[in-house]
Amino acid sequence: MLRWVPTHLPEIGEAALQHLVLVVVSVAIAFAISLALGIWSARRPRLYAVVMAVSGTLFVIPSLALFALLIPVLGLGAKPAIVGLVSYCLLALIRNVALGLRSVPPAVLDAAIGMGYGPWARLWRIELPLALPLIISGVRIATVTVIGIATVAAYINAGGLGTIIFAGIDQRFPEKILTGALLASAMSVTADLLLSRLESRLRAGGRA
Amino acid sequence: MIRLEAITKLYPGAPRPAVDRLDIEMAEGTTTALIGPSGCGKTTTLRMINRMIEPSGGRLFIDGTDVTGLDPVLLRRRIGYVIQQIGLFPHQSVAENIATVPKLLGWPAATIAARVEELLTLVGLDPARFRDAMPHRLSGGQRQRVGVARALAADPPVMLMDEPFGAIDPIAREKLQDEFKEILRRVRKTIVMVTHDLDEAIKMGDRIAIMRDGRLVQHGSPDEILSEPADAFVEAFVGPDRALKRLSLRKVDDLLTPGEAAEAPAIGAGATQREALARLIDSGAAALNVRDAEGRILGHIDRTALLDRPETRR
Repeated sequence: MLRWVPTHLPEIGEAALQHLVLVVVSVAIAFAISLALGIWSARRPRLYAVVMAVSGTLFVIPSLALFALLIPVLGLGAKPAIVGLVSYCLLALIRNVALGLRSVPPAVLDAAIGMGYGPWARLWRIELPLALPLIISGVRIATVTVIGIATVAAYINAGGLGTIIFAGIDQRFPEKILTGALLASAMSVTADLLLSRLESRLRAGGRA
Repeated sequence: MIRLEAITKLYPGAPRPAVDRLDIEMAEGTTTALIGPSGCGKTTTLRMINRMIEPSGGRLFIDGTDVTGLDPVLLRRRIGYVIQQIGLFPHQSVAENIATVPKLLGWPAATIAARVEELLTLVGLDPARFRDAMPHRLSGGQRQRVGVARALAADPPVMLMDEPFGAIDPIAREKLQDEFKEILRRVRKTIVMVTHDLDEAIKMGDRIAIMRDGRLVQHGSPDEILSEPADAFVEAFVGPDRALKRLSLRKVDDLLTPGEAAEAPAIGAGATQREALARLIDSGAAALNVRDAEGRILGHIDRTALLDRPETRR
C-alpha cells in the first residue's frame, strides 16, 4: 500500500516543518495584533463593532481567493501566505481577548482601581491574568483554523503540507493526498489537545 | 481627618446633582456611617473621597491637605478601600491579595511577609492555614476579613467601606460587625462607611450622617440622631422604635443598683439595655441581676430604672 511515503520521509518532514513554521509565525503575529486591538476595543463598544466587522469580513473571504488577491501586492511565497493566515486568525483572537477582559468581575476591577493600581499595572497584573484562559482558547481556535487553511498556501508557493496534497491531485496519486491531509489533521488535533490542556490548567489555577 | 467642602457631583444630563454642595467633617480616628435611602448620594460621596468619582466642584481635605489636585492613583494607595462584593483577586493567594498596596508602594519582600502575618492575625485568620489559600476556598466572612486586611495593609490613615457587610449572610453578619468594630477600634483609623442599614450605622458609627437627595440632612452621634431627629424625614427614617434603638446604645452596667434582687433572672454584664428590656418582658420580672463573666452578681437593674429615663424626659 505505502509505496511513496517510506522513500520520501525527508521531503515529508520538510513540508511538515514548513507548515508548522507558517502556522506558528502567523498565529504569533496575529496574537500581537489582536492583543493590542482587543485591549483597545474591549470596553469601547462602537470600536469593537467596527473591529469585529472588519475581522469578520476577512474571515469569510475564501482562502484561495485571498491568496490570489495578495499575489499582485506581495508576490509568491511565504510572505503573502503569512499575511493571509494572519487575517484568518484575527476574528477568533480579538474576540477572545475582548471577551476575556470583559469577563473580569466588576468588583475585582473596582477593588483594583480603589487600591491604587494604575491602568497599565492593572491590565498586566489583574486583567490579563484573569483573561488568560479565554485568550488561550482564542489561540487554540486560531491555530486549528490556520493549520487547515495553510494547506492552501502551497498554491502560492509557500510550501507546507499543501505541496504534497497538490502534487497528489496533479499526479492522481491518492497516497500523497492522504499523507498530506492526515499529517495536517494530526497537527490540528495535537495543537487542539495541547492548548486545551493549557487552557484548563489556567482555569484551575485561577478559580476552580 | 477628612473634610469635604461644598463637594458636588453633577452628572451631565441629570436633573439635579447626585451630591449637592456637601459640607462634612470627619474627626480623626472616628467611624462615620453614611446612610440614607437609595439614590441619596452616599456611595457617590464615598467614592469621591478616593476620587473613584471625580467631584464636579468643591474641595476635599485629608489630614489638612487638599487632595483634589493630587494624582488619584497615588492618593488611593493611602486610602483603605473595602467594598460589598469584596473584590478579592481570584488568581492570587490570600497573602498576595493582602500584599497588594505594599507591593505597589515597593516595600521590601520581608517587610511585606511580616505585615501579612500580622494582618491575618489581626483579622482572626490563622496565617499558617490561610496565607496560601486561594480566595474561592474561603467563606464569605473569611473573604471580607481578607478584604479588610488588604485595605489595612499599608496602614492608611483613612479607610472607606462601601456596605462591607452587605454580602455576608445575616447570621454571620452580626458577629463580623462585632469583630470589625473591635479591629477598627484597635487600629484607630478615620473610617467612612456607607450602609443602608440603620442598626448597622448605630452599631458601627461614632457619628451618623444621614443624606437625602444629595444633601446632608443630619450629622451627629447615634444618640443625637435617635433622640433629636432634625426633621420629619429623619424621624421617619429612624423609625417609630427609635427609643428602643437608643436602648441598644446603652449597657446595663450604667443602670446598676448595688445588691442582688430576689427571684430575678440574670443577665450578663455588657448586655445592652434593649436586651435587658426584652428579658424583663419575657420573664415578667421586676428586676434583673447583672452577672460578670465568672457568674458573680455585680448588682441589679430595676424595671422602673430602665423605663423611667431622664434623658428622654423633655
